[in-house]
Amino acid sequence: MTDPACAVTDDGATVDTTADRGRSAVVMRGIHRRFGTTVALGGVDLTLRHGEIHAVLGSNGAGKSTLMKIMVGLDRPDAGGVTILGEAVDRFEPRAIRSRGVALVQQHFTLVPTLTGGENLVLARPEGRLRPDRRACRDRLASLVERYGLEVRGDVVAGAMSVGEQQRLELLRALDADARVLLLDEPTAVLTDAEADQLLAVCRRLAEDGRAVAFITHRLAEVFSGCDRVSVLREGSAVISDAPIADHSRADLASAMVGSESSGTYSRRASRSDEAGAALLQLRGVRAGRLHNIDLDVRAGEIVGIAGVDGNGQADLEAVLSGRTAPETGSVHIGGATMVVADPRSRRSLGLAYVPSDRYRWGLMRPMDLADNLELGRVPRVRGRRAHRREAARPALQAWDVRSSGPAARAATLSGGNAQKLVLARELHDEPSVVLACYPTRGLDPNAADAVAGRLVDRAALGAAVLWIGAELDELFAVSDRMFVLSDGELIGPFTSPFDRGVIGLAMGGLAPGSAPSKPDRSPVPELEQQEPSA
Amino acid sequence: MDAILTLATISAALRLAIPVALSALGAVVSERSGVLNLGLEGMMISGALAAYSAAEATGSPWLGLLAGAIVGVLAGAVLVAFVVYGRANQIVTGIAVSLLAGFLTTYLFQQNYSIGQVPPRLNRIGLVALVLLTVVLLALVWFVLERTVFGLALDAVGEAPEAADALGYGVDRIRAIATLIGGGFAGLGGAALVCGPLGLFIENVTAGRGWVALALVVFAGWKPLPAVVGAFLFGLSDAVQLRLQGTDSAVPYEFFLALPYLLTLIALVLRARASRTPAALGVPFVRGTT
Repeated sequence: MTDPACAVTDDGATVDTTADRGRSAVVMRGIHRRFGTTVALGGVDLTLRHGEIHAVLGSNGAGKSTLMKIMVGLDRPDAGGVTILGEAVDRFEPRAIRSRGVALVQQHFTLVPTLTGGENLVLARPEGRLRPDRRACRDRLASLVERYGLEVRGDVVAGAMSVGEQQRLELLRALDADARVLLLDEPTAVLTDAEADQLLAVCRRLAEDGRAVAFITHRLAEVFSGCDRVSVLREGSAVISDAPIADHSRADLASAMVGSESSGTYSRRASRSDEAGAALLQLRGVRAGRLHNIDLDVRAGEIVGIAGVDGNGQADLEAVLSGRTAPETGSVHIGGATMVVADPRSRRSLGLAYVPSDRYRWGLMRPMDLADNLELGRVPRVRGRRAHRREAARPALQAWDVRSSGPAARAATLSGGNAQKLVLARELHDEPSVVLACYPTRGLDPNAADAVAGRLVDRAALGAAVLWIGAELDELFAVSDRMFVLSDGELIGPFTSPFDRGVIGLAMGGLAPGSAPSKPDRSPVPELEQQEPSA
Repeated sequence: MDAILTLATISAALRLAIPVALSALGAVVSERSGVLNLGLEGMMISGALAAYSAAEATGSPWLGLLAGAIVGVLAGAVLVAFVVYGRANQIVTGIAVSLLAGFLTTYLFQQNYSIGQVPPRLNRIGLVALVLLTVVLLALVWFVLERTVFGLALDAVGEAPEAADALGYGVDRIRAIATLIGGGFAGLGGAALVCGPLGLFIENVTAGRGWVALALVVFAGWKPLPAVVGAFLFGLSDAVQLRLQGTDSAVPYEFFLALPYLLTLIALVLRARASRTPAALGVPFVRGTT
């Protein structure tokens, strides 16, 4: 193993800590990658340099993770070239690329949960064919721990470690292989503030040793507090490429991340908020998973949009409101009645309709026919004859414009848009007073998305309280009466129409409005009770 | 009762335990890599017939053992083709292999020996040699699993295949090797039954011992030594029931016959909750699904 402090030798076995600085470590040119009809990357250029921390910024689905996977050989580009330390990559294969000194620390760790920290280290880079015993594994890890100052226990199984410790172990594994290029995919998403600061300091130290570090993130504060260069990806293209950090302001990067054009294809609401009535959905001090102390009111007749980058607590909010998991503290009230925790039946009987984020997992039974899917969760114990049930389903399918070969078709045969309309047909059938819609237009073509959005807007106009968790800002701007940004488990807002893209972009980057610009801001949620929507 | 636990009973127990122990060792290896080998019974009986034919033809029971192991590896290759590379359902494929092998061995055996004809008895391998062989193989399996990087990778593939893949280990290759080893041990187990104490092949000679071996793997918590100890306990109860059959008793002999299997079931239920199944056991690996 190379000691980073070593002087340079003639044979080039060790790397000078300063002469390399600024030289290209990885050059990616014109990288294209598509999955089916989705273009994940449409010709992206990226250069990582020795001695620098390069922030790769982008919202969901911008292509950040795909780009990193290509760089380490977990995926291959359809077109374009990658050069690592001066040599072109011809085989996109994890082991070959790792041996060239490129290591990726993924969001989902590649640790084996039943093996100890030391054993996981040995697994990644065995020395010879024999496996050292646990004590030797632990000692090997301990020497790395001492050298890099990253605290990891060598004799505890990975599954019993905190995510922070698991991440440090991943990082040590990469350093053990003497990686010259370190890629960290959303490394701070799972860390506490103190751990995140520590990680940034470690990355700085590693860069100073001459390594190239790429930091994939959506948090603007980290870009400014720790990085040298920035690239911004949006919808598979590099909007900003390899720019020195000093060239851009926070607002620049925020707008580059969320875009500025408005498609305007979604149905806009004729009237907003004026007729909003009683609070039908109330969250009081809800803590669950990543959610800290959420207070929220959704009133009759309004749509409240929740924006934010995935992984900031959306999944926990969905799980709590749908009744799948119980909040650690706090309560949920629907129409004044308290929802029984972790009981989907209570949620349904109180009139909360649920359009799940994964319609095939929680919304539909794919092998069952449309008529049966329409009846799921809302039928009596004894059912009528199949022919009758299918006949009865016909009008609903027509009313909701579910295009299929008829009520006997299996749900699996539906297109994404029709499947979603089927979910809506069932969930909105009994005129619910509250609707929880999670990414209701995700994966739909514009016409289907428009139709789905229109149905939800109609339901709000008829007096339902709608909570819409979404990813596309234009769409949320079009349908929402009020908006919040979910960032790091906290609600920032409310924002009211006309919505300010720049402010919301900053909030999605973890910067609450009015926060100090120099350090990561995790200020408490504004008191929602006191901020009435502008009438 | 003291007559039951004599030295003769112990040696009978060893005789009955060895085929089960060898198969269970093989199953430990394949299951720790994430491949559920429900074809174990079929691989045992295939190995048994191969061993009988080879030993009878050459006169050497040791060559019989070798033939059994080879045929076991070949049967393992069938499972590998379907389950590891074809990503077929491991439960259905494994049961199909067991059923097919059961009927195929019966058919092939009847082709060679017509009904009523008494097949010749083999030269038998002594009990001590078989016990030594089992102990050596147990040590070998333990060493590979616990003391080699291959064993570490094998566990990684059975617990978190996507992690092993990301580290550059060939998940399919490791699972294939583990399944072939498992097949070889099962074939050897069947061969040990025929070339050892019995010296004969008869239809359904394994009598469900492959299934017992599978249960023992769970009972043993996927560890080699407990698997062999479990096999001995099974053999002991089998030996005891054989003795009990011979005693004057109002209890029908079928009850004693069922006794070892019943004890296996009870032990399994009592132990099952305590042991931890490899997380990816029975799950085909497809890159990018998790």
